[in-house]
Amino acid sequence: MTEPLLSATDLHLSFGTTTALAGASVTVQPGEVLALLGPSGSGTSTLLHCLAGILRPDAGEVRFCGTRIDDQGDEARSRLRASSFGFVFQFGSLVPELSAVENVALPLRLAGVKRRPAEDRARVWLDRLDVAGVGGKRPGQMSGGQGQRVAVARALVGNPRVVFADEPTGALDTLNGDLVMEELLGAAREQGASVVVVTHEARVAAYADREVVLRDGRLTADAVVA
Amino acid sequence: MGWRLAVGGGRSAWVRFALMSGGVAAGVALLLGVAGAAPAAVQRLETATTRTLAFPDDPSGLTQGVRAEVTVGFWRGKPLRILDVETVGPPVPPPPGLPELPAAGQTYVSPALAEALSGPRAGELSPRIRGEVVGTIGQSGLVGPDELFAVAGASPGRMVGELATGFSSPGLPEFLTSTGGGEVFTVREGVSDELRVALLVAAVGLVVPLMVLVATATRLSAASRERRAAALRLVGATARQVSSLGAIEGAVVGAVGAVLGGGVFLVLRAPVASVVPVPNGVFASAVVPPWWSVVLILVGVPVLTALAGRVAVRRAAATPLEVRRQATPPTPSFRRLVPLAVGLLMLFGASANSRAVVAGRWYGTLLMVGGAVLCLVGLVVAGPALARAAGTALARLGPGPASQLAGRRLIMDPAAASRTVTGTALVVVVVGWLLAFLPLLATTNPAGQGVLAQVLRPGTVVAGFAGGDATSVVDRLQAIEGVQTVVAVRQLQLLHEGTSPQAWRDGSIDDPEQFPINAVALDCAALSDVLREPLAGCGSAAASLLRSQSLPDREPRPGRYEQLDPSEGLGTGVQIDLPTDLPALDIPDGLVQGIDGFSLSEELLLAELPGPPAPPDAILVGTDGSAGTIEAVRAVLGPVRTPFAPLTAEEATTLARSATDGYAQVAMIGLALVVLVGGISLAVTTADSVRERRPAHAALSAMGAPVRALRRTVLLQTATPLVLTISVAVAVSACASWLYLQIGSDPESPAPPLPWAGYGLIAGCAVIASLLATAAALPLVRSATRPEALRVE
Repeated sequence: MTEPLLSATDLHLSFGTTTALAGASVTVQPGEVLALLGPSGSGTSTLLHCLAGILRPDAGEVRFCGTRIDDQGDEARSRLRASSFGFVFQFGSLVPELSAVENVALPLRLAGVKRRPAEDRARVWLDRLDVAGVGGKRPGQMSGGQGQRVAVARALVGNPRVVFADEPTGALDTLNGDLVMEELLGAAREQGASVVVVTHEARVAAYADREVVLRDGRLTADAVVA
Repeated sequence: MGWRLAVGGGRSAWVRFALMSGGVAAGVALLLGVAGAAPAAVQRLETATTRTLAFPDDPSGLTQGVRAEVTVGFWRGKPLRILDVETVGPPVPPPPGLPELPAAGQTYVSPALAEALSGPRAGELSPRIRGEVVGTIGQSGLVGPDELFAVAGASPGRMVGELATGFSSPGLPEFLTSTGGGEVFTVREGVSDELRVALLVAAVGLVVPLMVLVATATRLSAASRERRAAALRLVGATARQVSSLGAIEGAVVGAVGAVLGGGVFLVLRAPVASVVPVPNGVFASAVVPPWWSVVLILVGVPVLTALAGRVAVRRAAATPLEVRRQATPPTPSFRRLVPLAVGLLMLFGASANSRAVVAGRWYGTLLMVGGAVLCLVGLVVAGPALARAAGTALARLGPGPASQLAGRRLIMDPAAASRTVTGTALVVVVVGWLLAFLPLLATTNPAGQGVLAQVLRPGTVVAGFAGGDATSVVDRLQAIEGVQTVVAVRQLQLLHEGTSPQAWRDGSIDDPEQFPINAVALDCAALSDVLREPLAGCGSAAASLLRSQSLPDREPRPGRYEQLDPSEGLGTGVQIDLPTDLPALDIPDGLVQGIDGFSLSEELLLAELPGPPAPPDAILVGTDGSAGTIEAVRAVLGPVRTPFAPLTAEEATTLARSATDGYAQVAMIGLALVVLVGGISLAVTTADSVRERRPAHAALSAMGAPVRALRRTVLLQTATPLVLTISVAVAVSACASWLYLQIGSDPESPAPPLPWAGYGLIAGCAVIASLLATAAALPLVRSATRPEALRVE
């Protein structure tokens, strides 16, 4: 077995008296699509946030490309997220004041790319995801499906190694949900990026190469999807 | 349901409610403070009035009553006022704060003076307080708690002023009487028209930003409340129901804020009054808003917040779908700049028709006053357009994503950004006007006494005497450790032998050539010692001509002169010969201008007093500048009757400028207050906007945006419209002030220059204070990036 791209070992994390993770371990291989399944409150989003370096676990460790990241400072983890990870969330992932092009160009601009080249690259991605027509519109002026496709473009524009998606289709109808998943996974596979997707829908999980199920902060099943 | 909506949404709703009602409470507390400040100021004026005498229309026939005079001195930098009183005949009702008028040899002192008299430096003060301290003066007789004030009973026959029937009753003074050099004179005093206008401008300048603060607090979380109102509309609530709910929520916030604000006012009144930098301090119990203003504030504020709450949901009531889709609000048009431009044009018109303005023609007044009002209103109206222009420039030209984001946010909601800065901008305009006019006030002030302070060495005490027994004073002063020089100044008049003293006394001499010449006898070398620049030309001559830039060159006829008796006007028999070609001694203008009780405007300087020794008319005491030495000098001079209190030239300048400085001080306190209000408003608004944008901030942070970039966005969002609006405010203020000065100035002499340094200082203070207030909310940015915000819409 090859060295995992991303691994979490025996993660524990509590918010006050609420235990979110109680010894969760998981690995992500390069190019792999992993689905984290579980009912609401089972700790799937918390595990995703720990894997992405957004949250620091109370105990356990997270490694990316063999390097431990959970003990790094906020600044270093922010840099890592900006350079190597992409994100799609259920709500609020687009900045409401910026147009679609500006939203997609944002990760590049945070990485120091000048405005013109960043927005040119953003337009390419919007075109690729078939939402070039909403480039000048703000999130409030788009449909939910268009908004999520713009979010996918933003997640992929920086050539990330891993894309984290938290309920990316949760606010969409089946048709739009399928379209978003297909475009997310198609573009990620083209780039060789791994995808970690949190969902409670079996239909979405079916897109994954492997799925793990969490209950009460622990993994209860780890299965390779046929 | 309005209450449920206001607080019924869990912790987040409580936080929002607390922010809103807290902001309203801060505004209400300050409004009550402003309302209470006016009666406190009036009470101070009234207290000053009760120390003045009430004269009948014809005081000449009075045989019994009271004489009184106030001497203003300084003790360790603080004014010390002593009211000497003498009752002739039956007792006279005392001024407020005293059980009775002190008998000869008795003194009542203020609590602050009593404390100083029992403190470690009592030795400096006690010689200056004549008589035995028999009691303290009550609050009703004092201007403030820190006032050093004494009412001393004078021995019969010592006072020279005219008899009065009693002391003035409380009430705004129309006439104040004062004595100087034994002569009673009456001056018109009270609340002048300029002061009335200044108070009106100050009140508008304070109340407008306070109302802006209250309205801003009610508009907090406008976006989420608007979305909630839209949701209610979409499930079937009528536009009227949604508007009513908004109004009720606003009213609840306003009512709770008003009650809280009242409590805050009562709790903070005493501690704030004790630190307000007003001379003599402020009695907290005097800061009592009139009952009608309390009712107006407690009722008016909830009404205002109800209206603001209704306005906040008007878009949701009319077009709920647009709100759901977060459609862009209408772009503020550049037509918003029109009122400002018209206001400036009107001022230009006033300047072009300055004759009509000065003559008080209706169109002149309309152009001048209307232009000023339009400038202020125009700045408020132009605010959103300016904020949008700032946002557009920032989004296009600013480096990095933080500027882009801040710029876009400004473009999206320029009205919110402008609301927080226009209050501060208005103050900058008003204070800018005041600053431009202060030099005019200073030039109309007759004192102009800063000049002597520039001439005398620091720490030189100047005292003028008027007929008092000052003979032994010089020796006692010279014995004080720290006293370096004592210059005794003795004035005399000399009449040429060709003129008869009797003829002069009878007033039958018309030829100015034959008038007596004024001379002063003093030690030139000693005088030189107390000056910053030593005098060149102090020779051994018995007599020299005094020459200065501001005095015309005069040369007395040579020959024999006789000294005149100042009281009788007749010759004393003492003679002096003046040769031809008297040497000239150049003296600085400051000595000629002098201060009350001392000036060197004589023609002739004599090295020695001819004839028998006489007490000095004034003295200059050169000291080492230490407070101890200066107070020891005053202690020696205390028992001597000195109608012009012994002061250093710096203190005399402070006293002379107190009126002008008072205006400046009121302006600065007002500015500080409004900047404080603006700061609170800005901090609360910024905290709220950070809270409102939690999902976007959390997403940006997840993407790897450093928290400092998000903080920079928040700062830029405030700083850019702030700097632009304040710049426009300074430009408007400078332009209007320049035009006013053109109108008001004498065509012969150039108008005073605009105080650009002052403008820079005000603008800088306003910008820095606003940025500090914004920075106070920045720590919230980190908590707004918590990932749980990603799970909520």
